[in-house]
Formats: sequence, C-alpha cells, structure tokens
Amino acid sequence: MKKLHGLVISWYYPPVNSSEGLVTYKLLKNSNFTYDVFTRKPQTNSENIWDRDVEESELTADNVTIYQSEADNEKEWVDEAVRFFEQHADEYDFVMSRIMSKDAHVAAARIKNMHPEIFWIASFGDPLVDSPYLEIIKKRSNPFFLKQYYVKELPSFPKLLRLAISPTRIARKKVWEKERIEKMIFPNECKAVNDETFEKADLLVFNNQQQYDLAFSGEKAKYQPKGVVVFHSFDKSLYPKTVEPKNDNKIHFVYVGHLDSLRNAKSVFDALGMMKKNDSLLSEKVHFDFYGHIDDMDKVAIVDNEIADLVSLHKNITYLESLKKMKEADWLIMIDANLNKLLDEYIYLPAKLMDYFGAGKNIFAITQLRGTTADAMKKTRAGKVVTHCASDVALYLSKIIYQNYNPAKRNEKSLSEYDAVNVAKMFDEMVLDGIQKEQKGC
Amino acid sequence: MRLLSVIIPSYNTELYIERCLDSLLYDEEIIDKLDIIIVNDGSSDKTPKIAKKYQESFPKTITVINKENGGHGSTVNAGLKIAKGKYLKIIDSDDWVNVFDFSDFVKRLEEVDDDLVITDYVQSVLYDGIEDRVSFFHGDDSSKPIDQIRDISCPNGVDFALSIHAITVKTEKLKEVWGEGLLEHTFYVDMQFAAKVLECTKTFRTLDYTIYVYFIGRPDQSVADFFRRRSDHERVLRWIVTELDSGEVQESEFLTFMLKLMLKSMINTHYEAYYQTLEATRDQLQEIFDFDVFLMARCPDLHNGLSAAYGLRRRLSPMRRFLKRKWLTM
Repeated sequence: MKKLHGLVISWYYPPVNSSEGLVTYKLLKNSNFTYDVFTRKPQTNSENIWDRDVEESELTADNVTIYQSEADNEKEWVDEAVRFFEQHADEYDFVMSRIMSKDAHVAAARIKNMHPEIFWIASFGDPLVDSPYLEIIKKRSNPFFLKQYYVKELPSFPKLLRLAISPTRIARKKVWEKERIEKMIFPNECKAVNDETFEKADLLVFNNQQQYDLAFSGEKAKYQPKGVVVFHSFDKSLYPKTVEPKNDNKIHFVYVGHLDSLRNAKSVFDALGMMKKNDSLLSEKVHFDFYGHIDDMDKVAIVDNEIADLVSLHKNITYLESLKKMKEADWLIMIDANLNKLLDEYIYLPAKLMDYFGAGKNIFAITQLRGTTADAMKKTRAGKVVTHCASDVALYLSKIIYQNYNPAKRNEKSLSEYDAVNVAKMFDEMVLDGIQKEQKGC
Repeated sequence: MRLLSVIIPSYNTELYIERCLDSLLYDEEIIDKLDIIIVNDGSSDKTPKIAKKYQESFPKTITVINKENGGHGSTVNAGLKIAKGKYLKIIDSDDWVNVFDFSDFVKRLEEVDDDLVITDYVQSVLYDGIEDRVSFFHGDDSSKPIDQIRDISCPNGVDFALSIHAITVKTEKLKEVWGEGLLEHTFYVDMQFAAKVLECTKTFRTLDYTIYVYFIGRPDQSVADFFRRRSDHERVLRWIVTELDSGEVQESEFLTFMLKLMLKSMINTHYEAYYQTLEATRDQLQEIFDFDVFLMARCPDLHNGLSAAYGLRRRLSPMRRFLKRKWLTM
C-alpha cells in the first residue's frame, strides 16, 4: 500500500484525556500512513474539564508527530492551523479534520477553499447539528435549574420551596439558557459549518451506521456517496499483559468514565438499594467501583439507597490506568444517556465500549434496547443489555450475583471488527481509494 | 395442580420477552408451581423463536400457543382455555415481575382461597428512570367480601379502579363468567377483563407484595397512540355500557357501581381525546356525537355526571377549534 502523509486537525489529542482524542490516537497509531497532528496545548486552568484532564502521557506513536498550538481562542487556533498547513502544504496527501470541536472543520474548509486539490476527510463524532444530547444537557447543566439546588439546599426544605417559585431564579434560568445556546451550542454557526463540510469534504466519516443514516436523511441524501462508517476501536497493545489477582471473593463491577445528569448511574444505585433490602449481606458478595466524574444526584442516590458499603467512588484516572482497571474487573458497566424520550434508537457509539471489548470482560450495558450500543453488544455477544429501569437492572444484577448468570458468549470474529489494527486498515484503504478516485476525476 | 397460570400475550416483543420470562423463572423453587402460557399473536420477529427456546428448557412449565394475529383479547381468550393453575395472572411480554416478591407471593397463594388477590405494582417509566409504586395494601391482608373493594384507597386519591396489573384471579371462577371472552382485534380490553374479574369474584384480599412491573416508554407501545385507536376504546366502552343492562349486573348494586366507576374515567378520557385533536374531521366529530347520543340514551346518570369541565369544553370546543384552525393557517 502506498504510504501517505496526512495532516490531522484535532482540538483534542493526548496527552489530553478526552474520548475524541483517544479515538483519534488509536486510529492513527495503527494506520500505515504517517501523520502530523495539529492540536492544542492542554489548558490546565480551562473551564472545560476535558482540557484540564491531562495525563503524563505514554501515548505516543512512531508515525505521528504532534504540533501543539498555544492559541488563546478558537479563532486564533483556526488561523494557526491554516498557517501551519500553508507552511507544509507540499508534504500532505490529505487533511483530516476531527469534530469536537467544530473548529477543526472550519480550518479544514478554509484549507480546502485555498487548495481545492487537497483530499479532505471530515470525521464526525457526535452530530454537529441538532444533537439530542446537547439539547438536553444545555438545559440540565443550567446552574439555575431547580435540580442543581436540590443537593445543596436539601436540609432546608422551605428554602428549596422558595427557590422553586422564585421569579428571580426562573428569570436567571431563562437568561442563562439563552446565553448558553449562543455561547456553547452556536446553532446557526454549527449549521453553516455542517453544510459547508458536507458540501466540500471528499470523505465524510461517521462512527456508526445509525449516525450515518441520520446524517444523510433529507436534503443531505445527495452527499451519501461520500459517506463511510469507521468504528471506534480498541488497541490490544495498550492493555497490561498481566493483572494482579483479586484478594476477595466478591464480584467486581467497574465503571470508567464521565457521568453527568443525563448519563447517570441512578438506575444502578436504585437497583442496589432494592437488592440490599432483600439481602443485608450483599456487600460481602459484590462491589462497584466508579472511576471519574459522577453527578451530584448520583451521590444523593447512594445516600438515599444506603449503599455506601457497596459502592466506591474514585477520581479521574489516566487512560492507561483505566485499561488496567477494566482488565481487573469481573464485569464492566456501560451506561448510556437516557434519550428514550427523544430517540427510538440510540445514535452515539461510546468509545468506552470498544475499550471494554478490548479488555475481554463481560459487559453490563444500560442503554436503549435499539441503537448503537445494543447492536454492538448483540453482534459481539459480550454481555447483557438492559434498559434504564432500576427494576430491570436489579433483575439481571441479581441473576449475576446469585445465580452465576453469564450470557456472554464472545464472538471473537465480530469483536475483531473493532480492533484498531483492522479499523485502521479499513480506514487506510478507504482513504487510498478515495484519493485515487479523486485523482482519476471520478 | 399448578398454583399460578401466567398468560403472556406476545406480539413482536423480541427485545423484551426474555426479561419477562427470566423474571418469572428466577426462583427454581417455584418453577414447578407455575403454568406459563406464552401466546404468540402472529409475531413477525423472533418472539416465537425465543418462546420456543424457553419452552424447550422448561417443557413442564411453559406452553407456547402460536396463533394468527387477533389482538390482546384473543391471546387471553386462547390462554385461558388451557390455563390449569389455581390462580391466573396476565403479564404482558414487555412487562415483568419483581423477583424479590414474586416467589413469596406464589408460595402465599397456596394458603389463600379468595377469588381475587390484589397486589401492588410498579410503573417503570423508561423516559426518566422513575419507578412509582401503585399501592393498594394498607396493613390488612384478611379475606373480605368483594363489595368492600370500594373501600380501598388509592395513592393518588382517585377512585379505586381495578387495574389488570394488580389482579390475580381464580382460574375456574373466571372461566365460569368468561362467555365469549374478550373482544378481539381491540385495544383497551384490560377494562373488559377487570369487569369480568369483578363479575366472578365473591371474596378478595390485598397482599403486601409488589409483583407487576409495568414498563412505560417502549417506542411502539400498543396503547401509545390513543386517538388513532379511539374506535377500539369506544368498542370497549359500548361493551361495558351494554353489560350494565345484563341481568346479573342489574341485580348487583356493587357490580353496577364498579362498572360505572370504570366507565366514568374511560368516558372522560374518550371525550378528552376528541377535544384535544385540532384536526378532527367532520366524520370524527360525528363519531363522538353518535357516542354522546348513545351514552345519553343508555346511561343518562353517567352522561350527566361527566366532569364539569367537559360540559364547558363541549360548548366552547367548536369555536375553539375554529379559531385554532384559523390561527394555524394565518
């Protein structure tokens, strides 16, 4: 295969410990091409938690050279990315922009406008426009949302009641929501970037079939020939070769990653509460470890259900540590956002699921019964899928804990489709094929 | 004799039926006491395949009936014909039972001999992950004559209505009043079922168990689109109104009271559906008009007793509909 050299424009990339950066890293590391990655110097004082979360990285790759911009804002970063390309334009066979944020696409579009001959690969993670997750989270993360006071003000119920009907709080909530939409979601700008990317990019990459179908529905159907699906992946070489044997007889469930008000563990905690009422010695049989940020309401659920002896909460850990924890677990918990009200099918492919696949452990997935996670779980037969209902979770946790229930019959052939070596190989072929077609003027 | 027959109406529920069966078969100790009848109502997905797999694993406990599609009522009719348990419960295949109580509940059925056993249930709302317990037990689990069922208070303060999720009924008693059974190709027959249960019951008791988990939020849930299925609702309403004229019901003040109670909430829902539909056509308005005439003729007391708001709405609704249509087309 011809060895190509590409420029990857990505806001997130290791050592920043963000899902999008890690996905990109695994893909590039296992690709046969060489890459320059134009990214951003980690901002440890940033408001954005992904920017702050930086690990002393061992995540390097021989075929990747990283260039970190020190730009203060997105506009400057875009300008620098374009200048960087201009300085090395002759070296590149293609440019790949990675979404999260949209500015990578903005930079790539400007490059494409100046160099129409360059092959542009636009990679989409979450939908840039009308993402249901963002639509909900922008409301829930509102600091004036009554639920945000619930934890802090719970001891003083009259105060909570006053807040509930407070016109000041309600007005502030509305103002914040409006401002947030402008500052965080950029609906009009995102639509413009999305439209330009669909029109001008040569290859549109999506990480799952559901999002691919959604992206090319309606007026975007004409761009479908440019679309491909490239799954997220796991990289076997990053896991520890051996793990320490556990020193108790408990079944260990592990969750690694970020939880928020929408993607929360409440159903797990409520289920454990139900189970503990029927078995006061439950803590001798099972333990749950959660690594990473957890929502305040989840902490309330732990207290309400009196399950502090069953659950340990841990701070963020590095990516490599997280892979080790996955290897040490008996069961891995996957939790997707509860978007049942908005979507009949879940459309986000969690990168964590691939790392779970790579760890080779049973997976207990709380998700919609239709959609990306459920499909991947069904195909790989890597564990059990349940809904966000606590009774459903309790039923199958009970079966696992008391009846040695194990529905996992791992389909190694299907799992290998998510191996970074195979994903990168497929990606390389798609890029090469696309460039050859472009050169032939197809 | 098996202690409990469970009829599981199943139509295209490949994603859910395993959970239902797993919960019923959770405790090995009670499997021999169960008579599980899965009635596959002409599913086109993998539901029959899954049912068969479970039937092969538990041949003495599970029976599978495969039949042409005939709706929820037809599945209960088919299941009841072969039910051989002392008691009978209906559990939809997308719902399940609370494993922490179910086993004790089944064992308790050995000791009781009432025609009807009422248990609490959980409404599990998928959208927001909230689980609400609907409770009928208030500390007294003794046997009572059926007319005392009126004294059961409901958690939200509304009149007691017998929900299918709370019912466990003596199989033989139900068979005695079953007659032509439930209406086929019709939604909302759970009310018809409840009416038949009341008809066959002399004594009842409430037990302190939460058994049924009612799953709300499946995208293709059968009762989700009410207006589209309004004719089914009307059919069930008309059946209950007609039932009020039957000799047995007329002789019983209690049954008349309960059926009217059931009708009251159903009728309000029925009118509401029409009022809330902006784009109701002339034919659809004629439907509700015809029903109104029917109700006035057959049950004037119920008609007069409709929620006061409906009276006002009924007077205002033609004008309101006209204005909204105007506004929408501006």
